[in-house]
Amino acid sequence: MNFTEPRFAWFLLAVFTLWLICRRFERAQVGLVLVASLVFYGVGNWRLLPLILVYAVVNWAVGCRLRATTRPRLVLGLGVAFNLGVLAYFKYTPMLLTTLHDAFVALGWPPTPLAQEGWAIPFGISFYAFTGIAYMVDVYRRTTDAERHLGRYALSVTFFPHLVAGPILRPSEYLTQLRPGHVPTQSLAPLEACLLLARGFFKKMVLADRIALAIDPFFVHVKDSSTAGVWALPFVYLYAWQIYFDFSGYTDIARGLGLLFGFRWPDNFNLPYLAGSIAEFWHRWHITLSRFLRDYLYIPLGGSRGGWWRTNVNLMLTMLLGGLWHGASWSFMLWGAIHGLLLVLHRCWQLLPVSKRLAGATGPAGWLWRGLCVGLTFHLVAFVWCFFRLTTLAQSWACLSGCFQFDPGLWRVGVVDKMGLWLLLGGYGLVVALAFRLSRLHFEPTQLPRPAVATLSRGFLWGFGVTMFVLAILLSPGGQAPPFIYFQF
Amino acid sequence: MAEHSIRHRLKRALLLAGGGIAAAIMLAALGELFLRYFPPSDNQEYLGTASLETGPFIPSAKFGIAYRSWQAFADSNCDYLAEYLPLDQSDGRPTWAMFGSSFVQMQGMLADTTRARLPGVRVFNLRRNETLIVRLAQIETLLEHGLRPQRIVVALMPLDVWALAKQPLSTVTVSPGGALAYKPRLPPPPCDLFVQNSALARTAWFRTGRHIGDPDFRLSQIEQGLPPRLRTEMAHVFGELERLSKQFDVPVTILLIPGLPQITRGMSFAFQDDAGALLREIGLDVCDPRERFLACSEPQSLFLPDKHFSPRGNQILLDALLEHWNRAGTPVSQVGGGTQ
Repeated sequence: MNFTEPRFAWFLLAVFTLWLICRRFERAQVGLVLVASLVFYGVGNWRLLPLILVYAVVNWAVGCRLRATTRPRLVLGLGVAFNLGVLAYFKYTPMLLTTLHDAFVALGWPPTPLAQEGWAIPFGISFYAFTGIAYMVDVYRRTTDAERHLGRYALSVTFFPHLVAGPILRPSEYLTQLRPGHVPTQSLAPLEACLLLARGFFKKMVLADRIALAIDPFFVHVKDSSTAGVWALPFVYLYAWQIYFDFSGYTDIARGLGLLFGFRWPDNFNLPYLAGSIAEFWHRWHITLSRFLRDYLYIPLGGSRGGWWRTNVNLMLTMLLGGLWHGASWSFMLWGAIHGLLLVLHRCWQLLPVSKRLAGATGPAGWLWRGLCVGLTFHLVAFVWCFFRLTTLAQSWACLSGCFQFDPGLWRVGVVDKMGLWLLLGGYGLVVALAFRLSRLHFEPTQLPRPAVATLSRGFLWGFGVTMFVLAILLSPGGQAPPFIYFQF
Repeated sequence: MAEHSIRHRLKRALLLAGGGIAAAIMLAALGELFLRYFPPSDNQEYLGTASLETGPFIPSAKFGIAYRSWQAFADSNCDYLAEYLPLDQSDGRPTWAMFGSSFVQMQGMLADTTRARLPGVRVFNLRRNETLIVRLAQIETLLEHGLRPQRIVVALMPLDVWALAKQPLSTVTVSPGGALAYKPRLPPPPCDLFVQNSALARTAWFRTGRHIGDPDFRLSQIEQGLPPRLRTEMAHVFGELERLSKQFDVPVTILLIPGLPQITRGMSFAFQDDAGALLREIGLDVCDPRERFLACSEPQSLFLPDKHFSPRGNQILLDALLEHWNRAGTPVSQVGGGTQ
């Protein structure tokens, strides 16, 4: 089920109403939300349910075994191998078979079989496999206790707001709140939940989906000479914004739903396109994935403990695997590799004395330098997104090289004349900046000038949240809404 | 003290409501402004004179719409029309013009099956799945501009007349740019004033789905037989088709295609019964191939997973059509080329 489908509204209404009724009875609450989450995941394709249930049972059993065994490293290895093996089977079989097939054909040998037509990757598998690995490693490291109750563990894996596209939670951020006596019995911060839900739905249904309508034809015909040229740049910028609005919109909705059921989860995005370097970008973009890769891959590989060269190798490996995690395609791997390379280059730049002088600049020079860094980082990230959006290297290259060809005859081809879209993006920026200012007044009481202003701003924010939610429905482009981009991962 | 507390609470409530209303008004005003200038695409066909959509049509009493000109028709069907031009000339083979949904137009379906099986016949089809009234307007334009096929076949399924049931001819209109459009159904007064004057209210009304001609009409109603209003609508448009047939002396056969649930799950043929009787009453030739399909062993093999006919299903459909014409006294052997 998709958050933007009308039936999800009915589903949520029913589940939340039942939750309000039985929230004081812990077992009933856990049972209700677990069943609801399985319905959410299985609706439309019930064949997916056994897979997620097997994942839950195996990870729970490994967690329990890790406490009792004398060979925890072996048990952990088996558990991680199971998670990665199943993930790899579903996600990477078609890519490997296609690569093998193409290689055999190129060598003039009889071609090997391709993957079955209609091979489907169970949606959310990357997210719940990673959540499972994080749990087992944390139990192994004894930073969290193994969960004895299968139902509570299964709920921590399948809870519908974060099931399909995260955020990727540590056990301490969610599982511990499902332990006996800790299960929340009331919603947290209803106003914040309302604002998060409204913002999330607006980002997805209005901004991301309208951008998708405007730019999809360009990416379909990216190799046509009629759409190439420097005027293709706005499409590349807009895709960067589309993926941001799409994914951060999903995270906002997931966090808002979490608050409704009494859980507070970390944010996944912190104004990533205001990052002044690639390293900073990865501290602001898909934060829970970056954190996972750091804690469960980069640091176990040796992190920055093995010297300058070893650190760079670890960085490259981490980003390569991070790219491959996103999807079964060589272009995703290349996307990860380029990001890894940019991170290494950034580390090289930091070795130069001039970088320290510029980083320490203050006043107008400091602002200018910061602006340049933000602009450069945004452009690099936006260009590298081409490898993420387009599935073949030839298409990605055509898109990128096209951006550097100037043809004045094509200046009306781009999306520069889509006035409605630009106005919407600008208007959204202004309105959200205003709401952000007001919410800072509201959520940071020390900044409040008078109680009356606090009440007024609280009313304003409620009105803002509710109206924005209504506008998300009315300003959406209409027709069949595309699914969230990250649902494919 | 109590009075002070009540006043304090009242003041608090007023401030809270005031803040909420201020935010709602501010955002609603911005949304209204945006939607006035940039209405969503799903609103366009209900915007009347404000619609920005363009197309090849003008209003017509016959089918609700007609093509504005031959050029407009040719431009909107440029993909496949060229191979049939000029219309009044042929390669010596008799022409069968086929109109219908994807069951006729899609690759490998009835038109392609006929083409492959009867090389002696020139099959005319535009390979586009249009709504029923557009198909009828296509026939009108083609006949007026010189197409003289030996036969015209119009395939009909419940889904084809569903559009006519949901949007009766009285709601069909044409935008200033020539696109097919519909007059929206308005809510009862005084809400209609909001819908007529506010872009936000209009979009909200449209998004409820209550704006279409008959929002409560369900496909299952057609499958149980023709409701009286739909019967009247069909009598009108197919009566016009019959007049065209007579005017240009081109026989028209209506092919009532059975659906998967009727063949495999024993669902009633009430639609075919009612529509067949009505169309024969009008004077059109009707081919109802249900017996052929029901007599088949392994009925599932007649369909593809997407519920269209499999090659075997299409063969049977064509066989039924040829047998129908044989029985009606216009055997297919007369068309030359024979069957393969």
